[in-house]
Amino acid sequence: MTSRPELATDADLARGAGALALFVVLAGAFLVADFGSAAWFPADASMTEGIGYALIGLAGETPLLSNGFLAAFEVVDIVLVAAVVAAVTLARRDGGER
Amino acid sequence: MAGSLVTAIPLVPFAAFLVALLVGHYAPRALPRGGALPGIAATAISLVLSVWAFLTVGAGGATISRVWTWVPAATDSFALTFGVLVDPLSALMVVIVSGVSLLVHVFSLGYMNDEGETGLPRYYAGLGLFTASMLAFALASNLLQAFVFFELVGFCSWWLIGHWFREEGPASAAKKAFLVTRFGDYFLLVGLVGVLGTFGTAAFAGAESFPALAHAALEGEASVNTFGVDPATWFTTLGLLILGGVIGKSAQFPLQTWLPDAMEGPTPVSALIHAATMVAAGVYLVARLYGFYALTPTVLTVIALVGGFTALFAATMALVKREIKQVLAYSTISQYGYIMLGLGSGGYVAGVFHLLTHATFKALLFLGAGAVIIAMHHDEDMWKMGGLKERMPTVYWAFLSGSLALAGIVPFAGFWSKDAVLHHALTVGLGGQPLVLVAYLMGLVAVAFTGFYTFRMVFLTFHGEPRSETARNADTASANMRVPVAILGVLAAVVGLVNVDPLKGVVGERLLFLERWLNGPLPGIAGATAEHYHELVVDVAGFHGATVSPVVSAVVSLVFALAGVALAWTWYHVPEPVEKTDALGPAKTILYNNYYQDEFQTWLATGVTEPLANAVDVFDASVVDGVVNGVSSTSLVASDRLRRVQTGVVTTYTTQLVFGLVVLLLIVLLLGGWF
Amino acid sequence: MVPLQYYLLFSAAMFCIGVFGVLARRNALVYLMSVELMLNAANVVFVASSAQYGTISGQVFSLFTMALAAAEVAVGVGIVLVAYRKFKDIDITKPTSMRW
Repeated sequence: MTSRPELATDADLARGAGALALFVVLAGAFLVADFGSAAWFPADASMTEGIGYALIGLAGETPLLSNGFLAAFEVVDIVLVAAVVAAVTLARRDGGER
Repeated sequence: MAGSLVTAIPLVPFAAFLVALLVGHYAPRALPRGGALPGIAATAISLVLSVWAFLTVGAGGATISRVWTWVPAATDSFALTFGVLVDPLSALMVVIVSGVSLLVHVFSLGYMNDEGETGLPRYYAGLGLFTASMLAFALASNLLQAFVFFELVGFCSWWLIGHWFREEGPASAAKKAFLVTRFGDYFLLVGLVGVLGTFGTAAFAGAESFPALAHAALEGEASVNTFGVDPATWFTTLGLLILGGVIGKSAQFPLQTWLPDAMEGPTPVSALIHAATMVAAGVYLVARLYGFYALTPTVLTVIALVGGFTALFAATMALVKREIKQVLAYSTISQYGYIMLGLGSGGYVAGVFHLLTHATFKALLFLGAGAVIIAMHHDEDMWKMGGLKERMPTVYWAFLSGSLALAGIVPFAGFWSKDAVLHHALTVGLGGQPLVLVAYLMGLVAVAFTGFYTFRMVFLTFHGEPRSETARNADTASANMRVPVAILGVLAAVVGLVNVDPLKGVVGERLLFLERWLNGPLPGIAGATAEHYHELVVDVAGFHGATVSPVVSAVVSLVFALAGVALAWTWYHVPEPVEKTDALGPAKTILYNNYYQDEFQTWLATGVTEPLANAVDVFDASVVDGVVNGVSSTSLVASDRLRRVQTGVVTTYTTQLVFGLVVLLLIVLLLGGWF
Repeated sequence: MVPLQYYLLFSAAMFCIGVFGVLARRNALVYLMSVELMLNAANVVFVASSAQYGTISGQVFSLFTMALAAAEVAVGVGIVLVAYRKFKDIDITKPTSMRW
């Protein structure tokens, strides 16, 4: 069945006022703050190279400042595997296909 | 030594009580004569010990000793103790109590055992406990101890009146006796607490006793806590409160309604408790506290008025009674009125004297009536008796002796003592106390009534022709009933000679034995002599005596008594007497119904107290319970509303989260000074 | 570079649009898309801050959040599938049995 996209009229706008209130508060907080001028990156450094080195824990190889993210890299790896397994498990129940 | 042997006086009958109760319950066959023999043995031992104590006191050995400390004294507070006070008054009382109790125990062999009554161990246990309590009460050294035993004798009265509890009458009468006396005892308890709070001690005698402290306080030499009220007024209040218990226990107006109904109990019980000893507990308390009462002229006047009024009031009701024990019951109420009149007008010796003689002749009259009742097979109606003089001679002569004493005919006991009371009331009344004079006049009129109803009783019971089959076939009383009656008959004739007040001018003061006894040697117990009380009455209470010759007063009361006797002779000393009560007209109904006092008191309970109690109950259930229930229902309603927050819809929860976050952010930003 | 406030404002707007979707929409899949939007708003802040303070940690960390967002959506779609099997509808206001 095809149908054209329609504006969602079953949205509960009263609850949505909470989102508006949150935006007002956040905007108020941000606009008042003073952050100073931006410290940009060195002109001749390669960004992607720097990100790559940071990911595998060799943050000292690049002139850009960074922390090491090796442990986080490994953990996210495991999380992604777990997510795939979970999604497949959930989809398989009640006689789902292999 | 002296202390411990004196302590045995109440303990021996208590042991008899335990024996009768326990052996009678667990091994009834092992109990000889249903518990009578242990009781007789115990009261005999008590009598011997009492006489020994009496003689010791006479030789100058009066003592106060502490036996047991109930509540030890804390800092800033006083101790509650139990002790023994042996002085002339208490020694006299224990002799009277143990003597009458012994005679009643012997009489009960004939009244209860020989008639095949059941429940004898219960009966003798009750008599034993009563004797023990009354003796302990007489020997009490302070008001708290006296109160404890006061209540205990009240309990024994309930127990013994309700001996035949399976019938409705005795059970109800027992309850009535207990409740009416309890009502008075409530005031006594309040007074006791007041005394303890004011003086810090409730001791009767000695330098540290509260009468001594009260006297010192009135003289300004000591200070006691009178709660901001003038001392004289406060002591009057305490005296009146204690008087409440006295009025209840001694069956004075308005708490006299229980005594006639108490005649539902066995006659030996009536003789012991409701004639000679328990009702004496009230007036004994007044005598014991005389050092305190002598300081308060208002209370003394109240005592005298109550006594005089009760004497007249009860005597009028005794005029129309048909049952022999009822006449004697009203006579008891009336005679205790005389004792109160004597004590209230400042005549300590006179009051105690009448107490002594009354115990003798009233116990005699009740025991004699008991013998008659047994002969008439428990029919008490005097109009069915008659002619018993020939069939029961011993009982008749003893009864006559007692009746002459009661009516106050010279030289029998009642004449000397009643005349002492009336003379004292007359002198004080003429000496500037008009209310006491009014009480004297009431007492004087009652003398005539007393003579009349006493001899109406004698003539209807013993003289004339027998008016029923039972009277015709009446047997003479058995030996164990005749012996106590005979002993008391002799005593009633002679005991008055211990204090021949009217003949003082002739024979000198040496022969006023009772007065000398009550003044007796008291090393260590100052302030408990009759002389000291007399001083207090004259100096502190202001009761001065006018000079009236005792002989004149004696002759006046004797004339009144003889007038009453003469009228009774005319109407009833005939072979076939008839009822004359209709001549009273409308007064007859009122007197028959005891001035409707019973109905009035029942109305007070059901018509006044019960609705009030119901109203208070409604208040309690609706207001007090309402508040408590309201607290819980607030919590219940609030939680019922609050739980609807959990709707189960996810978006509701996230909405709540977001709104909460907004609020938190605002708070943190504003307080942190971000803006 | 544009001052940082504007990047933060833009991110707040994205985040609040996502919050609106989470609060007000009834379709479960739209709910998941709004969650994605919120996560991406956070990513914007990471990158903008990394330029403001001259360290590339922000950009590296945004990679991680993207990965986690993907994982979370995978599991989320699986849950929506199971819920559909039970309630026969992907309206998230339908399952209300865990309530008072």
